[in-house]
Amino acid sequence: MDLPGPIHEILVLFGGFVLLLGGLGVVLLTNPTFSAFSLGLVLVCISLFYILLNSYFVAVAQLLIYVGAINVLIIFAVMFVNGSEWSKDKNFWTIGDGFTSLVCITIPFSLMTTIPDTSWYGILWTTRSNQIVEQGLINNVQQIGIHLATDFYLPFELISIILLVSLIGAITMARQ
Amino acid sequence: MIIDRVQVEAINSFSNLELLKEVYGLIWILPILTLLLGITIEVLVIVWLEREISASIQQRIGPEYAGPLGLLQAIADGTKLLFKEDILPSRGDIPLFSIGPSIAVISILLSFLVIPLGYRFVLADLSIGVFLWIAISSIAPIGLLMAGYSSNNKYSFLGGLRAAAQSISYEIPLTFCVLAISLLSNSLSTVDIVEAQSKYGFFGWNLWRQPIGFLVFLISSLAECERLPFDLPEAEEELVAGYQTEYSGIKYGLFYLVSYLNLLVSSLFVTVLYLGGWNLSIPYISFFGFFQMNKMVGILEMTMSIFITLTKAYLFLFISITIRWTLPRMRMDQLLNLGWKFLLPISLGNLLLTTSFQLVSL
Repeated sequence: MDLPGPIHEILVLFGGFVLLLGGLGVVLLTNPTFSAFSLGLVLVCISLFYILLNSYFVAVAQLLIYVGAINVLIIFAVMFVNGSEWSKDKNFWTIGDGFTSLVCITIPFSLMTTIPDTSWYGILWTTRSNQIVEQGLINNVQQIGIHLATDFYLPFELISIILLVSLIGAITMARQ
Repeated sequence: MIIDRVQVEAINSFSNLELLKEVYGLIWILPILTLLLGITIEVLVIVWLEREISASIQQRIGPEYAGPLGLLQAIADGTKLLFKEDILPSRGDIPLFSIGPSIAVISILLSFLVIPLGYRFVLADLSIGVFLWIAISSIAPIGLLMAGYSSNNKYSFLGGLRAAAQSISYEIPLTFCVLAISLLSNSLSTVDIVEAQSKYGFFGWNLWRQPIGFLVFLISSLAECERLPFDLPEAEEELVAGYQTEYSGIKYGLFYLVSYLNLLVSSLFVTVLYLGGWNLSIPYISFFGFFQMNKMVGILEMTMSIFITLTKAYLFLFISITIRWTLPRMRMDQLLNLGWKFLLPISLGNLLLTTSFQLVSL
């Protein structure tokens, strides 16, 4: 979305703030249903970021798949669990918790250091290919389609096979 | 964002002045507010139509005292709901209870963003148009699940679960039909889809090129709206009123609004996808080609195209209201069987057929 500078920044800040709040809510809320709903909030905020970055198709796919399908299924499953059982017997701080928190804290810091160091314009093999084909097509959706059918054809097919395998596995497990 | 040309010129002359920059920002909101006002009026008209048509089907008189022909009945209903007490269930979840209906309303209102009412008269002509509608309408079940869960009432809970299951399972055939249409018109944008049908008037409609898709779309959009043959989430005999059992006052009004907004959106999308949108649809008469120079004629053109779109949409609305008062309700297992074992394979086959025809014609 080509918004004037300050409005764009305000929206980014607002989205990031809500995203952080929602992420904390997923982890810290004791009622699992609330956590599932705040996960939905986090996913909506991520798609807001995609909209601000001008990639509408990815944003809408994010909404459709993650919010509309996966999060609804998670809420569906979690709503059958009785909320009060979860927070009863809770040993507050174990070694496992400490180890997990250490890992979780190091990951964002390492990400924060590596992201500014990487030269993102060096990764050109996605942008340079098929320039002749793309000249007439400015459309975002069409570009994604061309890339899926040329550069990323093999990964695309492999992923579809993995999905098929997991689908068949789920059906056989459900039948037993 | 399409505003009238006069308005645009006025805005440009305004924006030269530094002081009026903020006014310029406010003017951008104007089309949105106009659209909201129009939607509200249309919903009121649908409520009135539903009362009148159901009355004439059941050989009653229907509303007649509030205003001429009972036209003000819908406003009277709305005002009554607004002034009613807002009862909160004592052991329910109050925050979720309040957020639920608003999520449902917001998700429906957002999908009006991409509906073209007239020639170039659309709030945002995005390249992903129809896909946006599909994605956003898949958020609405979250609001319904919230409402069902937070009411602390087993009927509400069951209603919420049923609503979510139903809308997920009918979303898929709906998406396949839309995909077939976008293959035919080479675009996802709603404006392009209408333009692709404009060539041969009445005979260029997608209805003739996609008859199976049209039927599947009709059935699954009725199911998405939770209209009567598929209104299991609020089946009175089984679950008191489904997820809206505990609601009263304006929150109940919001759910009521959601059901009619949903109906309006899907009828407008039937118009855009299958019935040729804003075109006059009489072949060999190019109504709009005559005069391009005059501004008054431009405004007339715009009004005509909006009128044509709304006429087609209300035709579909009439059909769906008649269906509501004619057909009995389905059982839950029949509903799921119809969705997964009949509509899904048929729409997949339709999509395959369309794809192969497109490939042959390339």
